[in-house]
Amino acid sequence: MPYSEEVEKKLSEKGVKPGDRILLKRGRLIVEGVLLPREEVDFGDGYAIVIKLDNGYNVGFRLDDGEIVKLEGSVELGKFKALEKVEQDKTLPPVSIFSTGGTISARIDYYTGGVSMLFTPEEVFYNVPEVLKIAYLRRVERLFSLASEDMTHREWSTMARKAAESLSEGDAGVLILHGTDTMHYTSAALSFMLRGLNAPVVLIGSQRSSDRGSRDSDMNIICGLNVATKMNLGEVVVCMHAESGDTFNNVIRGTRVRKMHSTRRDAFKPVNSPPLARVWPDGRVEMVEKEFRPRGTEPPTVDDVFEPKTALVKAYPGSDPEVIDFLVDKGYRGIVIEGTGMGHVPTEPLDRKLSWVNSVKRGLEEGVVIAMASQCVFGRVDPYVYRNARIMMKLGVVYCEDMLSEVAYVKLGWLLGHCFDNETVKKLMLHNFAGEISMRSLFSTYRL
Amino acid sequence: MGSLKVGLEFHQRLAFHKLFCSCPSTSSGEASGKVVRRLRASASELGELDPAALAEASRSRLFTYHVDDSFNCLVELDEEPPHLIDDEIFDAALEIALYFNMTVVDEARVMRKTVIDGSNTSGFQRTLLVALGNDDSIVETSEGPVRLKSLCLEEESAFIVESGREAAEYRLDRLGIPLVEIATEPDIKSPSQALETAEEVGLALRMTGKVMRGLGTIRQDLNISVEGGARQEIKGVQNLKLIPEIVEREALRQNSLLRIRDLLRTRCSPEKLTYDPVDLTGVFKETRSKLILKALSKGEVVYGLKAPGFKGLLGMELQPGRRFGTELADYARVWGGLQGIIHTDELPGYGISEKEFTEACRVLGLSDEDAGVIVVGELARAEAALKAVYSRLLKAFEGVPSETRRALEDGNTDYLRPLPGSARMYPETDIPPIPVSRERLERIRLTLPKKPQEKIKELEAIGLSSHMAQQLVRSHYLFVFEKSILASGLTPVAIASFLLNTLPYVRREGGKEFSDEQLITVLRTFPSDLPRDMIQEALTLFADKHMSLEEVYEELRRRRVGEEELRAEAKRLVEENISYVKEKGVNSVKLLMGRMMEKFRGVAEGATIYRILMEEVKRRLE
Repeated sequence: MPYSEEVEKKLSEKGVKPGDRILLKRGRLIVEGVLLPREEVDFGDGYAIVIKLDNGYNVGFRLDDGEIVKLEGSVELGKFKALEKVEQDKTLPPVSIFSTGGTISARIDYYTGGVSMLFTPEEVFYNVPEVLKIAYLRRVERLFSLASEDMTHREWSTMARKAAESLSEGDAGVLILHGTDTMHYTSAALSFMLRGLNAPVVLIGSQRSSDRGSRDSDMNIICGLNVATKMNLGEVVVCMHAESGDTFNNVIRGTRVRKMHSTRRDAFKPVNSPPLARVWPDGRVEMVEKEFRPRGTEPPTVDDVFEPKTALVKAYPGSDPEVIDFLVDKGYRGIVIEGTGMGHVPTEPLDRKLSWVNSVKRGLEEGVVIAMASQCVFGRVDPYVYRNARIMMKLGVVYCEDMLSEVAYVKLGWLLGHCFDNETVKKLMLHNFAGEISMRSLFSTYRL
Repeated sequence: MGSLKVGLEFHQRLAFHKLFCSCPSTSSGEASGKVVRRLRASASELGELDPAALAEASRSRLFTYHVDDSFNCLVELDEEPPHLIDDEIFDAALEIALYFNMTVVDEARVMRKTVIDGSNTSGFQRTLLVALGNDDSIVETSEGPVRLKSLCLEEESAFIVESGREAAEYRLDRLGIPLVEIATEPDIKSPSQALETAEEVGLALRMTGKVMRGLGTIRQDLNISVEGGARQEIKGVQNLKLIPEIVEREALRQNSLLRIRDLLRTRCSPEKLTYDPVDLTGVFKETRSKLILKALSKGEVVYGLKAPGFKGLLGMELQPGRRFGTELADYARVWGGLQGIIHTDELPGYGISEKEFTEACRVLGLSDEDAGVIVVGELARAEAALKAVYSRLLKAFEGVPSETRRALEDGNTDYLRPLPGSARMYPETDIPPIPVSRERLERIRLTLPKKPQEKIKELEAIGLSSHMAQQLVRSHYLFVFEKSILASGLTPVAIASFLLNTLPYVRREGGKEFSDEQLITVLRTFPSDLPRDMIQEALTLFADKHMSLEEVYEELRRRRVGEEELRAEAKRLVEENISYVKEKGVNSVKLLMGRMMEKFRGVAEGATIYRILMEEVKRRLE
């Protein structure tokens, strides 16, 4: 109970603990309700005790010289109802669901507002009963409870192994529940790590908390399961709302997707590529992209090496190349620079100290692989149009064409995890492993 | 009649931008875009349900939201977390709480109140309790004190454009407007006391100068119960004058239901009432009833339920024009989406023949004391409706069920839904708790508005008549008046007279509504060389927004009619009516004044016209 020591002392003197029904008398104030724990003391009035009134409102009152009386009728807090086991239709396509954390995996305790993590099939059915008619949830497992910004390549690796395991056990597809902030990094990583994929591995998340009637998670789960069970696809994809309304979802290739809005339901957009397909909650799927990897018979292999000494760095006006020096000194083996425009960094600033040329040159000489992607997000880098890019190209920086910078980062880390020499890594950076790179920039794919 | 208990709940909009974002609280009804959403039920609110039942319950309606960048941002669309509440708005709520002597919380916590009828895009309404009542927070009425219970600050819901069983449309311009909800204890004992309480609270709210005015900016919910009855929450009373009628009719309804209960208990026990729906479709194979014929042609069914011991009770009037059968029809409408029901107390009727009636009674197994309820519709709906009717019939044995009801225009109410529990309230996790320091409260306490009686005295002291002062305090214009007199060339009486007499006249004539801002600006700057009767004209020109203030006054100077022209017209009129003038003497001015005003209203001062006319009449009579 994160009450301050002082408050807690007063409460324990009275033999009162959260969940107890209490009466607080203080001057003219008389208030009765259930004492709740405080979620934090940094915000609000840290000395106030939190009481749930009978009309449902929570309020904070300081004890001061008031008097607390313990009443009959305490409540057991933090206990979720045990859910009854549900009989599933085992003739439906089997699917595994892995929850990894984030908003979509969270479940709220309506009484205290506390949050816990989802991990049984019953919890899925209770919120999304439609699932029972779409798939047989052969396995529902909580891998971890991490906010998506706390993920590392280790978790990518765990997800890849679990997905491969499930598919080798005969699942029709895999659904991964993920926090949205870095979902597109994970989708890229899984795209590289799962080789020879024979079925869809679908990442979904949620932009609204699942306590509310307007949650987007249910539709994302329904659409995601439709993709996992029905689509003839052997790729890692993200399946999230295509519009602000609950109309249909986009199915976007894991290496061509990016979170483009901090809060909207339709935050995930395809970049430099159309969505692979559109999917409706009623199960309808409409293919958009003609070239995709279909389902196969052999389960995938896992190639989940990763070089953690890989960095993603942004160039900007006035940016100091010291950041490159620092990384080189720290033994980094790969750096993706998110350059301006078509892939530029300062090369001839008036303050010569701010030129990146020497730092990049030194890095390359010391064996660091340096790649260039664009911070424009959409479009392609080009090393030949302007002199500063030509200089970088000449020095040996790899220009990543129309690859997203985040994808370039994941790809470089993955390649460096193998025992390739630098020249091979550079060459492979431009090799198309999972639809992440293309030499054709299509007119219709720039849509925001 | 048993003793009556009434509590009121006021929902008053505050005159600020929206509560959880910076969108303006004005609207034009326009919309540039539409977003389609579904709301889903949560396991928590439906309790222990099996997944299939949950699926049925969450088979959601489709909601279309009309959105416009002028009035909405992503917050109302539930696409961005709520912003923090502005100090200014929170202070206004604190001020109102202190004005009513309530005890303010030390820490306010925003809650989410589950609402899945689509009126909030999020599926809940955000609300926070700001203050609780105490022994000193009372509203005095001539029939005794009424204690205040609580004051909450909450967001207004979206405006419903259209609603159906499968879909509903809402406009989002209104969503998020800040409002205070003030609830009284159920201390009110009569219809007239309810009205008086409502008037007093409304007046006090206006005294703070922090509230919006105009249609729909305040509405009342009523909690009513009679002895032996049960609490009803009656929603959305916008017209104050209707309150006594609603209270009276609700008391009547509850007492009638209690009478039905007593009669019922002498005839039958609740165990006799079972849910055994009977398919009556066959009985009506060859019916001439258009209602049933139409339904059968669509493949719908006719189902019936036996209501043992209910004969004559379904036709019993509860309120003028509403029978017990109407209550059952409400349940069929809300839960089954049917238009209504047919019951045996009103048969034969609806084109149903005597023979069909007798046959239906036979199939249902009705004895002399029994009634039957018949529903017509799609199978699933008919069953849902009949089940709801059954649940309502069962409650008749206990007397009055607690319900949320809707105020109708004639003072009756109809059924909306069961009373919500407190379980639908849980913490808003996106907004940290708001501490309320003692210093903040003291600062607000120092500048609390005057009580109405003090204010009336103050107004009298600056020259207003006692009647005018009282009228002004009870009007919506006190705030405008006080802002205007600070710097105006007009006298306080002139300003008050304009606000209390001219403006209502303009409104009755269907003229334009002016904002407080526009009123204050014009009243403060109106030049002393222009006739006062031109204020309205000045406002109209100014509100059109094509002219600056200077240009408005220049234009009015051009339009103003000088004394020479007035005198010429007066002379002409007197000559034209010379025999009348001679006959009536100075009294003839009355009639002639009317003719002059027809011509010069708004372009010359009435007093000036009168003076000149009088001079001319007198001169001619000499």
